[in-house]
Parts: sequence; C-alpha cells; structure tokens
Amino acid sequence: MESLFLLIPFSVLLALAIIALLGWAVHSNQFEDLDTEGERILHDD
Amino acid sequence: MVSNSPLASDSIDADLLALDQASVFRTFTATKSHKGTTVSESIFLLKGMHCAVCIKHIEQTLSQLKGVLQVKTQLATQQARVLWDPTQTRASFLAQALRNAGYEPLPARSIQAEDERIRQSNLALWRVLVSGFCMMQIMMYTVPAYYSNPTEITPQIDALLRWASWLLSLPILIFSCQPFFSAAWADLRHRRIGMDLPVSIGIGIMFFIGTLATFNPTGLFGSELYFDSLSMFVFFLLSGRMLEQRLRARTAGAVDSIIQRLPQTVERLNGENQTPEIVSVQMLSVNDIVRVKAGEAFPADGILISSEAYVDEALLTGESRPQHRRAGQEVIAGSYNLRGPVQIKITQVGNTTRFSKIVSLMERASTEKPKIAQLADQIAGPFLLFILVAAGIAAAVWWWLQPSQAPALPLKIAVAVLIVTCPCALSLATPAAMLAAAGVMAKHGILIQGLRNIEQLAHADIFAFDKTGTLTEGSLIISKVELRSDTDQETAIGLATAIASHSLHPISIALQALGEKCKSLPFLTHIQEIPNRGLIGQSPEHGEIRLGSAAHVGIVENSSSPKDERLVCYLSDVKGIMAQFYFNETLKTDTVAAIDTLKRENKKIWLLSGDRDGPVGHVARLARIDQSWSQLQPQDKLHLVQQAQAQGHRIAMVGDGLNDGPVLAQANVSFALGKAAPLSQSYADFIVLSGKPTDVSFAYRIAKHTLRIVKQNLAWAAIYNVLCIPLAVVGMFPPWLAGLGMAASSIAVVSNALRITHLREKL
Repeated sequence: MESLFLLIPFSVLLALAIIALLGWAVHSNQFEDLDTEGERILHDD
Repeated sequence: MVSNSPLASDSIDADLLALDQASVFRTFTATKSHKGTTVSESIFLLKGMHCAVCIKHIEQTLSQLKGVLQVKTQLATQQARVLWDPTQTRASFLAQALRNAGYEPLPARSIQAEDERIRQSNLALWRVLVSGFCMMQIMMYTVPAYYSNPTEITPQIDALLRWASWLLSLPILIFSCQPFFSAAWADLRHRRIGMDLPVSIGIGIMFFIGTLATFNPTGLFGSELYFDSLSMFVFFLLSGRMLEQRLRARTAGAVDSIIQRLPQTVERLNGENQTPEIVSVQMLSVNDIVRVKAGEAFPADGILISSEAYVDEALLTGESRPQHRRAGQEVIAGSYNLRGPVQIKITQVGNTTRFSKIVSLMERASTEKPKIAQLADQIAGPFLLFILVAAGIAAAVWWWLQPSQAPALPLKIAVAVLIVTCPCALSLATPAAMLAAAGVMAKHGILIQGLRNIEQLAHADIFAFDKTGTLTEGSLIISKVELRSDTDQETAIGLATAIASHSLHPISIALQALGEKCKSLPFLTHIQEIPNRGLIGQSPEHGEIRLGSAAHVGIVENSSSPKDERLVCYLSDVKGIMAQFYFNETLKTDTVAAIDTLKRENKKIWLLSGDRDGPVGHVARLARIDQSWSQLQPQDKLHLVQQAQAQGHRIAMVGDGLNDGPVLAQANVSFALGKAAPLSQSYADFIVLSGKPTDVSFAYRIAKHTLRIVKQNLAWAAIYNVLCIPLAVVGMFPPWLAGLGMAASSIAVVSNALRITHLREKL
C-alpha cells in the first residue's frame, strides 16, 4: 500500500501533463480539420 | 519549384484587381510574422472544390507561385489559407492563379472574425477535454471509497485521495467552468436569471463543501466529496454546448460561402476625355459617369445617358420582363443591363438607393420578428428562480429543524435540490432533439440558421409560396405551336429562332432553345427590336418578318386573351400570321407532391406573386393551390403576411427573389430555395440547397416530429422534477442519488432525441 503514496501524486502530475499536451495539440489546430490529413496519404501523386 | 514566369499585371482579370485595393485587402488578409519576416496571410473561399484531389491540386497550384510560403486547404470549410510574401507577389496574382486552375476565389469576409472563431472553438474544445480528463481521474480516486469497507483504506491514503481529487477539480473550476461563471455574472448584472446562475451556484456550493470536507473530514460539513458529481456534471454540460456551437458554426460557414461575392468594380469615365478607370463601387459619387456592360448590374441609381437600354428589374420589382429605358430615364441600382454597354450618370449612391432601402426594410422586419428565445427565457426564468428559492427555503427550514447538524445537512439538501433539478434534463430536452433534427436536415441539404426555427416551423399553419423559381422553373417553355396551312413547322421555327437570336427577352430565349434542333437558320437582314412589341427583320424569301405581340403583327387579340394564362407570341410575314407560339411556365417536378403533402397536414397554401393574373392563376391551378394573389409589390406581400399574423396565423414563407427579402424576414419562419438571391438567403431561416419544394414539406414533417419529441422530453423532465424536488427538499435524496437521477434523466432525454435521426425511412 505504501506505493500509493508515490503513485497517487504521480498520477496527478501525469493527468496535468496530459492536459497540457492536449492544450498544445488543440492550440496548434490539430483538431481543426480531421478529414483532410487522413486522406492526404491516399492522394500523394 | 518556383515559376520563372510570374503573371504580368495585364493578365489579371479586372475584377480580381480590386482585391489589391486597401479597403478590400484588409478584410481577408492579415499581417503576421513568419520566421522573422513580415508576411501576409490571406483566406480565400473557393467555389468548385469538391474532393481531396482538389486540395492537392490547389495546394500545388499555389505553392508553385513565387512568394507563396505556405498553403493550407480545408475541404469542410472550402477555404485556402495562404501565407505569402508581400514583396514578391500580390493577392490578385494568387486569386488569378486559383481562377486559372478552375476554382473561383472569393475573399473571406473577415480574417479577424475567422481567426477569432477558430480561437473560440479551440478554447471550447480544450475546456471539454480538461473537464473530461480530470473527471476520469477524479473517478479513479473516488470509486474506491464507494466500494471499500471504511477500515480498508487507511486514513493517510484516504486523505491523499481527497487531496488528489481536490487538486484535479481545480482546473475544472478555474478553467472549464469559466463560461458558466461569466455568463451567470453577466445575467446578474443585467438583473436576469439564466440557466447559468443555478449551475454556477450549484458548482460553487459543491466545490465549497467538497473543499472543507477534503481538509477537515471530521468537521461541520462531513466527509462527503462532490468532486465526482461536479466534474461529470461540468463535462456533460460543456460537451453539449460545444456540439451545439459547432453545428451553428458549420451552418453559418455554409451560408457565408453562399452570400460571399467578389467586391463589385465599375468602369468610371473620368473628366472631359472620358478616360476609363476601374474603381470599386464604394468610391463612386453623385454625378460620376460610369459605363455598364451588358449583363452587369447597375452599381447605383442613375440617369441613362446612352440613347436606350433594356433593364431587368426582376429582383427589385418582381417584373420578369425586360424594361425599356430611354436617355434621361432612371435606372435602379441592383437591376441588370441586358443589352450592349450603356453609360449612366449617377444620381444616388450608397444608403439612398432603392436597393439599400429594400435591404433596410428587410433588416427592420427581421428585428421586429417575435423572438421565441425571449419566450423561453420568460418560462425558464421563473422556474430557475423557483429552484433557487426552494433550495434556499429547504436549507433554512432544515437549519431551523436540526440546528445540531447545521450547516452540513442544510447545505447538503440545498445542493441536492440544485443538482437534482440542475437544468440538465430540462435544458437538454429541447436542444438535443433540435440538434438531431438539424443534423438530419443538413444531410438532406437543408441548412438551419438557428435551432429555434424548428419550433416555429412546426407551428406554422399557412405556407406561402412565391411563384417564379420557387414553384416553377425559372424559364419559359413552349407549350404549343399553331401554324398557317401553307407553312411547315421547320420554316416557322427557323424564322422565329433566327429573328429571336437578336433579343434577350425571355420569350426569345425560349424560342432559341426550341431552334437548337434546326440544322440551318434562314438568313435575315435589317433586324430591329421595338420595345414592348417585338422584332422586325427582312428575309429574301418571305419579305418582312415580324415576331412579337398581337399589336406588333397587326391583329386584335380576342377579348378573352388578356386573361389567358399563357403568353402568346406571333410570327408574321407579308401574307399575315404564319405561326402562333404559346408559352407556359413549367412547375418543378415535385411541386405538386410538396403541396399535397402539406395539404394532408391541414396547412393552408398561399401563392403570392408579383406576376400577372393569367400566369399566376394557371400555376395555382396546376399546383392545386386554392388561394393566390397576383401583381403584388414587396410591400403588399409584407402587408398580407402581417394581416394574417394579426389574426393569429403563423406563416411559413417560401421564396427566392430579392424582393421577397422583407416578407421572408416578417414571416414566422422562412425558406430560401436553391439559387436564391444571396441577400434573401441571409435572411431566411432555412436554406434549401436543392431548390426542391418537397424539401420544404420534408423539413416541416421533421420539425413536427421534433416538436413531439421535445414535448415528450419536457413532460419527462417535468415529471422528474415534480417527483424529485419534494424528495430532495425533505432530505430523502442524498446528493449522490440526485447526481444519478440527473444523469439518468439526461440519458433518457438524449436517447429519445436520437430517435429523430432514424426518421428518414418513415417519412
């Protein structure tokens, strides 16, 4: 059970890190156009 | 790959040059810094972009140009965002390259607004993601406490889990909930009560109690945390709002791309020498002399200087036939010059033109429109006030009854009341169903300008249609040809076509379509058009040929013919009448089906037209419409609709022309069909892209069905509230059960709404 003293704070930090990552992804317009990028590879020349 | 042959200035179309003029340029281009240099970023809306291959093509075309740094193209919004170096190229070069590649470039209306929209939508998405992720993690910390025996978790671990939950609820409270708080604050400042106020109070109390319980589990407020309910609640509410916002943005984007047009330019003749110069319409002033080419619209009201002109004022007056104007007579801004270049002297520009008066008439009518939103607020306000008061009273009474347990128990009960009613089911009941309906309609090419219009449509009891282009195809077709005994059909049609090819009259155009099958046309000379009468020409075989009205060919129409629903055109030679051509307007193929469907729903059908009695009556008979009005001016239509509304009727107006604008705005709900004038599209509540009248009846049936589901949802939400509020008030509803009830009722409401998406097969 002692491991929880490390794991719980760590999970909080991890969650905050993931939120920051999502923020970066959203603000660099990664979610702006979900269709075009997926299809691009199919039309490469 | 940089092209070595940059476009020369003279290879750019005149209309595109306007894109470089500062007043236009600013709207679609922003200055940004890119890798240390100052560059321009422009947004073009592209017409003719249909698939992923187009994207490839557009990006290749642009990136090969000198000075283009980056191109991003989006299919969904039909936009290209171009980063370019202003020292090396110009906006008009880019536009010309796009046009040459087969895509019509239109400048975005406002790059600032577009950037702001993207920023807002990203922020909304991030708020949802933050609340969703924190919610998942908070559940992880909370669930063990629900399922374990009290002794299983040591107090230290328990405290750690509490602190972790508290820490992760902070981003939700501070960041994700911010829209609720600021909206609630704005409501308070304006002395209103909105949905956001109880939401904010509930969130605030939950966080407050939860915080105290976190750091002092043995204290006044007990050990119960509300962070799981809080985060789930916020996540659901935010997701719903984001979906609605996205749908609205998509509809608005589609409408934008329809109404966007290139800035109008005009050829102004300057000074004594009349040197031509291309200027944008905004730069015109009174007494300027401008040259207007055939097929162009007059940029301002003016007086004709050239000896004569034919103008099409159909958009402004509803008169579908070309009007003849002589030197010194007035021409109206927004009407079209049909033949040959003419010069006009401008008498009125900007806000004083008749065109702008019609626009402002439309604006006034749309602001006077009854707002269902106000009604919803009127009902929601008292209900929300009631909830706040009920929660307050319940807390006060419990405080008085059980002072020993205060303040934990009273606050717990207040929160239970707030959560259990928390307008989730109630606030989802309507939008969930309407969003589903909007989705179904969008799939069928019916765009909605606002969800509230669905309710208006479901309540409409009179459907008023415009005639030309709405019920009928826009063009005339020949219904019958009567020939003189010594004339064969090919000769008559050949002669008529040959002479008609010199005119732009709708009848002439219809005759030309008929003559396309003829192998060779007879040779005619000395062709002359006499306004409002017809054409005269000389044929080597037949002598003088006349085509036109009865008076033109020298006969007297019999008395019944003015009422005739058909247009008649006569062809004569020196011996007399050779042939008579009869024309009909044709109904769109599914007009009758649409009218029948609406009649089966017990709707009254009206036909409002600016056209003459005969054709209007004819179309009304064909379409089986009982009530029709003809020769109406825009003001008359407006008046008719207002009268009916005063008698308590709700009117759905279906139209297309610009002259329908005011009446579209006045009607309770309005449709613009197909290629309607851009202006009336922007005022219509529904835009039917296919232009099919059956889509109107389809939209009505969906709206009716949606309203039924909304009523079911509201009834369910009402019953739920009636049952739960008293239980929560007397303290039989602990907050966790309240949270469950809220979630369950929301799910019930949403799944009921989703039934609409399966509606298609049934209708």
